Amino acid sequence: MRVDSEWCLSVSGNQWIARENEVSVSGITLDELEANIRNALMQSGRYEKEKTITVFLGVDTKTLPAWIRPYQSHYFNRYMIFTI
Amino acid sequence: MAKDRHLNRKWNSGMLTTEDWWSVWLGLLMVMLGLFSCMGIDLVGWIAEPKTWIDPAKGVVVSAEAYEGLHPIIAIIITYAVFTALTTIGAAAMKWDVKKYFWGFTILFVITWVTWYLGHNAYLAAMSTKYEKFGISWSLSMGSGASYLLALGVGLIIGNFFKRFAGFLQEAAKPEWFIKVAIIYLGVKLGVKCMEAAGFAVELALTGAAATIAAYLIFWPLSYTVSRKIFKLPREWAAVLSSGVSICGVSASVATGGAIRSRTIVPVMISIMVVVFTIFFIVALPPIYTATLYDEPIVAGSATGMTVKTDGADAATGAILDEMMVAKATERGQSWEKGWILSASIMTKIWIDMFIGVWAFILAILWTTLVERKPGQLKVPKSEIWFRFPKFVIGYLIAWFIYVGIATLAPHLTDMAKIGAESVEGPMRHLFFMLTFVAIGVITDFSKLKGLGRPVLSYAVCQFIIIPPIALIIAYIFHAGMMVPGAH
Repeated sequence: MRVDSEWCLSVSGNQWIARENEVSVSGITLDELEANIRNALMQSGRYEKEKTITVFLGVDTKTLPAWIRPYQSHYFNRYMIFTI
Repeated sequence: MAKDRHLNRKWNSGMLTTEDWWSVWLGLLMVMLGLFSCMGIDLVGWIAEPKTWIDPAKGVVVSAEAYEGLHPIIAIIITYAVFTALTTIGAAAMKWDVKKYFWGFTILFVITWVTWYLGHNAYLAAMSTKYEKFGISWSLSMGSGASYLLALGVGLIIGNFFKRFAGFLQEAAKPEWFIKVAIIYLGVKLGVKCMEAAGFAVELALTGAAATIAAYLIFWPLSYTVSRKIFKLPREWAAVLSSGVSICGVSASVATGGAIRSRTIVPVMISIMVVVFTIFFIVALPPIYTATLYDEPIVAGSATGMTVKTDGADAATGAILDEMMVAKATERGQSWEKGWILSASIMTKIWIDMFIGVWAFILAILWTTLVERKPGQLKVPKSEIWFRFPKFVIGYLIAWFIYVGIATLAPHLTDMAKIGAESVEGPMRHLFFMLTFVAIGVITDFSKLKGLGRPVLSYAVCQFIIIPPIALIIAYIFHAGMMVPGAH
């Protein structure tokens, strides 16, 4: 799937954090986080108005403690699709 | 656009950086070396293995005739050197602390070998038919089971009473890695057995699959309902706990946590419960099933695969069960071939493992569309199924089918192939089983359950009260009447 923007997710305390290059947004719930990602992309000026974009969300595998990673090195990947 | 190296994006992500893939490389390397025996070259027969002893000097043997001139101590040193080198290369590729791994593995290897050797003392291991041979009048008659329990006991003592030492060993105490390598070697054993009893192996595989699917569809909803209705756990806790207790322990907890996008702390806490609770089954289930299911050994093996979580603990329990049931058969004057009961427990578990990806994918879709109610906005890539597929299964199947292929396509090579196979599926597999037992003990710290409250109670109720009887019934439905091939 073609991706317009790729974000790496991690957890710190009770906050979900997403970063893309130098941009970082956070949210207590994933809903809030996704809303903040959407706002950040809308305000970035990188995309034309009314363009539908696909955003890749992947959890930083380092978010899992080292001892648990061997059991399952993968957490989750999602695509968020919305119109600017 | 950012390309974070810690994201799994490509189909080959993790091939050189995860234990799962490294178990495939280490497993298949020895399988391939074992195949050289088809050309008359034995490249794996140098491995040493204990045998039942009363005279300490006669307690270690070299695996193959081609190396019978090799002194057993030299064989142990070669065994140590080969597997330390190979696993340390893996540790380096996975970016572990190599120095710590090297020393940790060295200590684990020594503990493994000492317990393996001591457990083969005739007073612990010898069957009554061998009393005369060893000049003894009694024995616990535990076969290799004594070594396994001794290794687990020593590991548990370290893990719970010498925690700083356990912390040092943890860089090398990797039960999932060791057991996955051992399971690939078990694929060789199954392949060799298929040469003798192909129909039974196929029947075992098919009934194992059916039992697994039945288990998924019953265990998960029951556990989820108990967690939600009785213990009032939030959805994310109930879903992750249900997968942990009903499917495949830690892997399923993490996969489900990811599928439903729970906070990472949830699968981490559930995983701690999974690891600690499995110890009870390793110790308790084999004697219970041996006492009650002697006439249905394959039912016992399959029920073990459905009941015990984590591959390491399942294989450990299956191995002890196999030893105890075969020992009981021997005591009764019957001859059961070792390995079939263990194969039943592992095959059931492997089916469960293989479906984790599909299950997590289904949960992710359900969660997105029904619970989070975001249809159309969030898409779950199908590649999730592949990412969550246990890669060691590929190694297990390759090892299995290679030997089936030899028996089918080049039957004249069968006897030669068995020479290499015997060292791989025998001493090498036993060595990795023993390493697993020690490592499980080292990483199990019972004090970690303190303060986990309701989730622990819910987990305990599901694991001890709900799962075992249903597993037994399902195993009985699909495997009743299946007897160890060649039993007489």
